[in-house]
Amino acid sequence: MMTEIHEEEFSDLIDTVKAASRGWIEAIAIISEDGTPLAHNSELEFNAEYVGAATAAICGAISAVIELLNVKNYRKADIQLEGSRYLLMRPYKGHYIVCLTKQKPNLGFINMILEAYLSEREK
Amino acid sequence: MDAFAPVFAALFTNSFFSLILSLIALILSIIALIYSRKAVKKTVPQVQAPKPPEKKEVEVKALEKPAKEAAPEKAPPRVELLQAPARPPPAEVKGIPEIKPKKEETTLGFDSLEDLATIIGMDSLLLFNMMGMSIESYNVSEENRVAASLADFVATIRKFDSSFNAVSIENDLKTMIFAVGRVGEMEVFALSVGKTELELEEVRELLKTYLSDLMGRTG
Repeated sequence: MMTEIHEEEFSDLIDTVKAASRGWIEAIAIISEDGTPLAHNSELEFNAEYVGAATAAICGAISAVIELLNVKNYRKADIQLEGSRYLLMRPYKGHYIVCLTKQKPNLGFINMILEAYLSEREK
Repeated sequence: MDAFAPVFAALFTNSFFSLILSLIALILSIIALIYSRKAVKKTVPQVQAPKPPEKKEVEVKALEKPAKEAAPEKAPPRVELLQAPARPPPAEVKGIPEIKPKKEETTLGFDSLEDLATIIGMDSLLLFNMMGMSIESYNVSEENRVAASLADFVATIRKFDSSFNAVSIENDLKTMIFAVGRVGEMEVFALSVGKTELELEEVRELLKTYLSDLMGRTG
């Protein structure tokens, strides 16, 4: 079930999360289930359309795989990239939040920040 | 032979003789029945032995008996370890307060964990989660390895006592491992080592406030 939240609220949310991350998150975006970028905040050159499509594809593939295991939902997907960066994906109210971290990030801290701000996610 | 004919005739016509004959026949049939049952008993166990249920019983008894016999008198911890997997998996520990990001300016004014540690007299402080990830630390070398070990320690204790959320060890220094609070579904724990006068609850409250400030700090 999708809850109606304005894009402005999404923008506020990702700005807050990025600011609270003490610089560990370099880029953050909210992507709808069909891959449309709803809001993003980045210090890097960031092609939101491309990231949105890729995120939707990855999350769709994860959902398909876990369905085979008779699991309906997942809470997070962390991908370690080359150069010790991480791509963190979290389902949030029918959308996806995707974050790109700095090199060798403090994942414990980032996870805590994401939990703190996204804990109202639907179950 | 003809001389015996009247004797046989007399015998067969005698009712007493026929009664004796029938008794003998009855006794012989009883003896035959007894022998046949004995023969069946000898063969039946060989046929029934491989039956799976009976064999299982025999195996279970065979396992249980040595365990009872071999169990030393002073081995209650070992028994606990064997019983532990049968318990339901530890659920979320109740009574751990939720920590939310504080929006307004901090009232404590701790800019870092180092400030907090210095003020409360801690030599080392480590905040970690149950996934074994370090969140923040002060004066802890190899913090990720320490966080992983401590998370494993807490998880192990919770197998025996699912309500476990704090332990305090006092020697020359006071070492405390305790649950600070819950952020969303993540439990945050702390390790503190130092010559502090504060009690565990006071340190917990200070760390809760610090974490709340930290998460709400967006500047």
